[in-house]
Amino acid sequence: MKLDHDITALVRQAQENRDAADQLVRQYLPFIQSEAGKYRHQFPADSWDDARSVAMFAFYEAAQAYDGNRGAFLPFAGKVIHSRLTDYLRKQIRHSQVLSLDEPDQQGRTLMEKTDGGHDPVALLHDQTAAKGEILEFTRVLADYGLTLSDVAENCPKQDRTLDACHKALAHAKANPQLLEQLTRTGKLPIAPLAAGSGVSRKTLERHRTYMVAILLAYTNGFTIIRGHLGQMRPGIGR
Amino acid sequence: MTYLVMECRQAYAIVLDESGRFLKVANLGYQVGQRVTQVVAEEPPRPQLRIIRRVAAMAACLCLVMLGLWQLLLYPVGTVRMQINPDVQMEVSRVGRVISLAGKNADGEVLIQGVAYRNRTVAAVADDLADRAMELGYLHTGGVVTIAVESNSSSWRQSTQDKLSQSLTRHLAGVAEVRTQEEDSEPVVIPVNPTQPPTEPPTQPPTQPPTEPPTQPTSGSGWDDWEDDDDDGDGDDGDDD
Repeated sequence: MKLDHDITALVRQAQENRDAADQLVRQYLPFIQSEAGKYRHQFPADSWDDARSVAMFAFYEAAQAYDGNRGAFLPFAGKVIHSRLTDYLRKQIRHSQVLSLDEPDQQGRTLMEKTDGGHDPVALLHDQTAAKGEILEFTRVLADYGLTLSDVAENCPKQDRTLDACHKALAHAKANPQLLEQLTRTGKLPIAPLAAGSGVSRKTLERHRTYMVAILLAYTNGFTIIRGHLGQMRPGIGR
Repeated sequence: MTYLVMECRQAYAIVLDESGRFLKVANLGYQVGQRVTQVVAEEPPRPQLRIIRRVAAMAACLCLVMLGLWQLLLYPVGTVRMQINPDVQMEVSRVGRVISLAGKNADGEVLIQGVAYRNRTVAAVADDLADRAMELGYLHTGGVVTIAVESNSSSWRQSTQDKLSQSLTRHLAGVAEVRTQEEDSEPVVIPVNPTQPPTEPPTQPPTQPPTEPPTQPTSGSGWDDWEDDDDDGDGDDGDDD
């Protein structure tokens, strides 16, 4: 009984604090690996590490979704892990047509040679390092507004219609740079002029305030890599 | 879709997709700044689905209750047959409610005309049928009503038969007799006058063989008694007495 109470307290802390969530996962790694191990024989050897990562993610999801009034945490987490691994295994089976990159064809050419797009691994590493630097700076700027990337992810619109509405407000802000300046100067999202100018409801902007701050900040400073990545957003918004 | 890895934690990573969505995904050994093409995204809690499941569970329970009620009230578990001379049959539910009423002969078809039976107790319908039989002249004072109950459930059959027999006997007290199918296995003479007791059926067959009918004479007209010696019809048989 005391053990259940301790776990419940840890889970509640993990729901409120990212570091506590990491600590909970580390503490229960043996449990996670034990639950995941029940499916080991079903996964190919080269995807087993990913399967264990999926199990850890499922444990994290279980901690975020757990309600203490509905039973013990560990059995609940076990079910979530089981469900996640089953889904992951199904996807792996669906995409299991694996071709060898090194097997030569009748002309003696390998698939690797035929599909090589000329990528330079050194350049890729350089790009990744640059992106990492920019992302760390972006994270620091968010922290000045009292926000984390987890907050942004949780506040991000799930439905396409709502996401489009937020991007419509972003497009209006880009066309009116004084709004972006107002954000950086006051530290507050200018909801009223954004709503009035873009036609997006105040309710939508307020509901997704955290996301709007993050996406507007991406267009206020030199976050070129992040803006460049957003190429699939609505035309006129990505770059 | 390409995802830019923004943050890596112990059990998850945060990625930004090309359409501007920030997502929590499983950390499959990612590094910040890495670009990946396949992710295992978080499944958000779905309170609507929980509500739908609760409503579905309640609907399922309601269906079970309705099914149980249907079984009790509308599903026939046995039949009750009333034979006066009109012959009628009722299908009856477990709780003794009449589901259907049918005449088994022509008089039975006449008898059931206008008799309300749906969802009424079998005793009430039997009383009405007996009353109507008397109105139409099918059942007279001193008559007999035979009831027969059939069911796969012997306990239900016996219980229904006993209750119906008692109820109908009370209703017809002093007018007609109620018999069940077992009691009615021997033939009974129905008395017309309630004061005259019913005669006992013969217990032994008659010992004398039936006499043969007299045969017609082969000659002459009329009878000719061969023991009568008055051949000339003058009253004298010709003997010196």
